[in-house]
Amino acid sequence: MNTSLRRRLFAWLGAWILIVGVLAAALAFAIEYGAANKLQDTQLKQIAAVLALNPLPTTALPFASRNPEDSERHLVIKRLGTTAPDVDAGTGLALAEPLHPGLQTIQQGEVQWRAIVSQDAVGQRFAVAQHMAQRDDRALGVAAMTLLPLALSIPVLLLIVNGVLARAFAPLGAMTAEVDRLDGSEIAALDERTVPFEALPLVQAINRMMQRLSRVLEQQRRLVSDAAHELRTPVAALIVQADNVQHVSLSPEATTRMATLRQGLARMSALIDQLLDFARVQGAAPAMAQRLDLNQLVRSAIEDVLPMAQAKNVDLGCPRIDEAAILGDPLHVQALVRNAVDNAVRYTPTGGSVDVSVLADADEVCLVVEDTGPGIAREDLKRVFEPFVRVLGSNESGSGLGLAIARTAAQALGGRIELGERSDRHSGLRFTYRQMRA
Amino acid sequence: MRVLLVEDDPMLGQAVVQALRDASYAVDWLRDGQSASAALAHHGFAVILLDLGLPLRDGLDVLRDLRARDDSTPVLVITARDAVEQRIEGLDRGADDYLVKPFAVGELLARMRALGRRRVGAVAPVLGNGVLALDPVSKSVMLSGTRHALSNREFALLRELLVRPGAVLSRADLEDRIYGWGEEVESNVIEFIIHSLRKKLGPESIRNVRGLGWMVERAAQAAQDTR
Repeated sequence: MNTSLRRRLFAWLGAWILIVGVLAAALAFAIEYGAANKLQDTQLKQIAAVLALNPLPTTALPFASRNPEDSERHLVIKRLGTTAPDVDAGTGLALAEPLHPGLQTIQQGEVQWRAIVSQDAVGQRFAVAQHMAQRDDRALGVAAMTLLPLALSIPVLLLIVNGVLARAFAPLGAMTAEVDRLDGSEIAALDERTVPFEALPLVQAINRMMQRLSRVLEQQRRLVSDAAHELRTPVAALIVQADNVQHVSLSPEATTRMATLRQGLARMSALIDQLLDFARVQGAAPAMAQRLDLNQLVRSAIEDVLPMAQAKNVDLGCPRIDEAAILGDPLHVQALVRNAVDNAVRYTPTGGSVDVSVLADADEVCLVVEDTGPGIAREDLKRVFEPFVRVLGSNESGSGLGLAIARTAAQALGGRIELGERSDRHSGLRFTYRQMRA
Repeated sequence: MRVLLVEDDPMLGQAVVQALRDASYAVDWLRDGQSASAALAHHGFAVILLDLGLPLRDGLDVLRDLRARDDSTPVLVITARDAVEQRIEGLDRGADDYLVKPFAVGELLARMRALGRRRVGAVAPVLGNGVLALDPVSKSVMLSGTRHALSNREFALLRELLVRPGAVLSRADLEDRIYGWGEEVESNVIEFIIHSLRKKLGPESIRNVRGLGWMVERAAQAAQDTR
């Protein structure tokens, strides 16, 4: 099972923020609640002390209430041990003696009171009392206010953690994108400079693996190239032998069969050349890039393919050829153009035509090769770029490497190939290669 | 003509020896670089056909020794390697020509004939593609044993095409090369000259490549067409 490091970090940090936040809130609440109660007790004491300085007044005090439900004036002052009228009459507070002096909590039926018992200047005992429920309400209210900042800070903290994590993991995401961008044709080391310290060993290990891979690829490419070179000598021997046979008088039937044999040899020889081309375009160094005259290369590709075109009676020509320079390794451009033209001529039936054009606009150069061959079915268009894939139904003895070579070269040049149907009234394949102008 | 073939592959060696004997050459065949160097120190040859990847001694070393002795025997290098830099290295070390495997016998013989002519030092180098042979002295061209006289313009145009058979020259290329500076070039004059050349030498002698220009065929191909 894959786990997301980021999600895990967020879950753990978030859980701890919540737990610590709740504990801190509970503690702050408890402390504040106690402090609020103590403050109210202190108030009671101070009021009692002030009242004790003089004989108790007979009129109502501004802060005292007759009505215990009135929370604004929440104090009740009551004379004890006398039938004289109370400072606050009718509060419903009936205190049962004996009451000891000082602070105490008095249970009276359903209602609890907090009271202080004291004596005034003439020795009259009295009690100052508060309704307990109201006291609690106030204490709770004060304590609840302390929760507000904490309650606000938790979501803010969670947001911040999320943002910080996203930022911290951004380099990993960027690196993933970089690795994804690499296709099989290039094995480039990942940039180690921007990688965070913690991920560096992993990236370095990946880079070492890429180096090993590119060595293996290079060995493979060499193997193909060496094998093709080695094949050239025996094929040369076969071709010379076949030429030698023609010097001996042959029966007409033997001559026909020899011709078939020679065609086979020519095909083999072409395949070897293409294998070499393939190995070459895969391995050439991009540092070889130089300014090239595309016209010159197209002309030389046409000169290379002309003998085949003439042998097949295919009309190979250039309807339009603009002046155009591009940047690239000449090996790549030659391989691309030659294989595009060669392929077109190869798959065009006798009597057909192949048009090679170079079109240049302000920023792009476009090589277009159009033939009058059978074209390529839509569903095969992607597949034909794979090495050795030939489309069923064509009788031509292509190697199946031409388009693979062209694509590999195009990738190295930074251009792109499109295959499609011709846009004019003829049927056939339209090969287009586009690259930036030099 | 005595030819030295240095080739280590028995199959190719045998085949080339047979081809050369069929073409009436006397052939000595050696299979390694050491014995080739030894033979070259004591015997003279008209042409040397030298493979590069040889046992005991590399073909390029054999070539260097030969040139170090001021021996100017024409050397035709035969190799499986055709990377551009290797070709240049072979020519730098004194090879006269270069043939990449695989090759047709016709091509091999044509190159050998060309080297032989250079050796003899023919006063007038003959330009040709195996079918057409241009004679600069009489301003004429030989085609299948018949001599055709050419006008100055016809000769100049055909010469440009025969400098590198197989290369396509555009109308502008040809106008540039056969007209001097400041000379007025009439329109269609190139087509006109080509038309008259084709009338003399046959329509296949000069081929048109649509949109690009004109060419004469390469030696081996032209020879094959006429066979």
